Amino acid sequence: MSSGRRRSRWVLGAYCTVVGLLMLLPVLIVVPVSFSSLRSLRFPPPGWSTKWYEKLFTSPEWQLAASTSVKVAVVVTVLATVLGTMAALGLAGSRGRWVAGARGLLIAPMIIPGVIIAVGIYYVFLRWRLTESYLGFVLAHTMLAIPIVVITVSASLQNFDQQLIKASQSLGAGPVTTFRSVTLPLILPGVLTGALFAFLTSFDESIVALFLSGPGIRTLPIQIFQSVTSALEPTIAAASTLLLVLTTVLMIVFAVITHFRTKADTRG
Amino acid sequence: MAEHGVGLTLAGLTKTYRSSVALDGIDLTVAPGEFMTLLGPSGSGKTTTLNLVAGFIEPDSGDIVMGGAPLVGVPPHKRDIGVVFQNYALFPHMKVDANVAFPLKQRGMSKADIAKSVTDMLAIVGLEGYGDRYPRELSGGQQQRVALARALVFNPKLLLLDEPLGALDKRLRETLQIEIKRIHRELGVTFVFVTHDQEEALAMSDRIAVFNQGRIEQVGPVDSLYESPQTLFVAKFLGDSNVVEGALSEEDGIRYLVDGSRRFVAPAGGDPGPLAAMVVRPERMRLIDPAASTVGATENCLSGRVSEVIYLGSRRRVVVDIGTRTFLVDGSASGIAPEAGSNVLLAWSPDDARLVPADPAAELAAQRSS
Repeated sequence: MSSGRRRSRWVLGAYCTVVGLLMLLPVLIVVPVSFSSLRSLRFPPPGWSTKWYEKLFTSPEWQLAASTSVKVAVVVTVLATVLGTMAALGLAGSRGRWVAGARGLLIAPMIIPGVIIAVGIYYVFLRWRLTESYLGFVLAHTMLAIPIVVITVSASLQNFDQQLIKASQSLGAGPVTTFRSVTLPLILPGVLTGALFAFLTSFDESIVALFLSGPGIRTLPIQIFQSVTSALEPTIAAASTLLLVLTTVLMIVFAVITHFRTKADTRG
Repeated sequence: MAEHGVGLTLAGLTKTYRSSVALDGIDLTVAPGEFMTLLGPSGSGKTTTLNLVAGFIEPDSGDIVMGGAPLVGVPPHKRDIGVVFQNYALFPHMKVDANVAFPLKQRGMSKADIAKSVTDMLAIVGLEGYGDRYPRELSGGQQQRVALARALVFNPKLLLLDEPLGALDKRLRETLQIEIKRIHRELGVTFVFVTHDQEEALAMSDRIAVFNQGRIEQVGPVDSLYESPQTLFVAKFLGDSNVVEGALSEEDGIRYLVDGSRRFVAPAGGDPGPLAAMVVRPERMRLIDPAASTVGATENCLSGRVSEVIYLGSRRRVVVDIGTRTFLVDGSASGIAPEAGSNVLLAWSPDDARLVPADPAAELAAQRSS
């Protein structure tokens, strides 16, 4: 009995390792390739160098794309977090039939296929002359990022006792103070998680970006795409590696937040 | 220190939610420093009244005046009224001292003054040295003490308590009842206490306002409400009652209550109308052995059969079946108990009974809530 259990555990472990490698290896393969001395994408690389990183950091094209991506993502994070949190608070504080409908509408951008949204946005933004513009990217990505903030903040609000707001008011705190010193600290894990995913949503987004990009403005994913189609060289691998590092760091931050949140919950 | 409290007047308060009337014209005056309890079944409007006074909701019509100042339209954070909630509503991310300091911070007090007030207040509620803990590290009773301290530390003129002991077990509830009474006496703040527990109301209050279906049935001192209920609902909701319903008639200057073939001498006083109910408390009824006929000449009498004898420690409750309904008779636990199944006579003096209007609707409501 116990040897059978040990064997099934061993099989399960092996299976999980294989699945894990299948998922990770194609992603991780860009790391050694980015340090290749060769001008083509060959694995394993015949020699090592950091020249592709040098090229990445000195090429104006890559720098422009990276700074556009970061600028857009930062503004989107702020906008989507503020708007999404406000929407979640409004939904939590309201009763009535329209609440479910409003929630569905707010979450819709997450459910509708990306390419449909992209075509729609492209069509409208063309008329408004917002394609190939910084503002266009910010608007489109904010819309795509709001649902995730609404969801994470709503989840936090489910554990939030609305009586605390009454208590705070009765103790002399106005609406602003009540939000700042009672509501916000208690839903902060949800807000931070939402902000993190809002940033990633914008930073990773490629379908809408493909439609909105042009010679004058493009984000990092589009720059990678363009490079692959024109010149296949390890600069792409270097850029991918950097994206990988950034995403991993953000996910570690997220894991730390969640860890502290569950710890606080179990203590309560 | 009894000069802190302030009077409260509610006049014609009405509140309607969508289709249902939550409050239907409430008039109530609370004297400065008084301990007033709003008692009633759930949905009777007592909590709505409390929320209106606190400012969490606004009335459709009517006035709320506290210490001469109108409150309607004043936002809750500017009313200076302390509120204690059933689920404590302590801020979970703040330690006990930060919770108690919260209202003082809003009032811009200096750090040294805040620290002193918090320490003093925690001592009053019996929680010295607990300032450094988080609310989740405290028991339910301790959390409610913190909530009391927080609601009283800023010297409010009025303290509202919304079923503050509802979540605690019986023993703890009784301890805290005494604590709250003591704090009320020491601080002299006007207390408005909401509960559905009639024993709690009797134990704590100066006066009780009995709520039923959005109206106040009766307001009065604890003993007068118990001894002289004016409606059947009050008689049934506050303590146990035996009820005889019938038509009133008068013969030779004596009023009788006629219930079918039975006729009872009605107590003097009260003008309940032609259809009345006679209410007698269980402890005002006597059980008599039918063999020994010692029924007083002026006493009302009924024969019945003992269906159950319940020992309650301090007293003994006998349930007597008179055929159409059952009566409760409370007696001393030390005497000889009648046996279940034996025939007995029930007797009571008309002076120990009260006449109230017969009201089938009120009777139904009281039965549903108990």
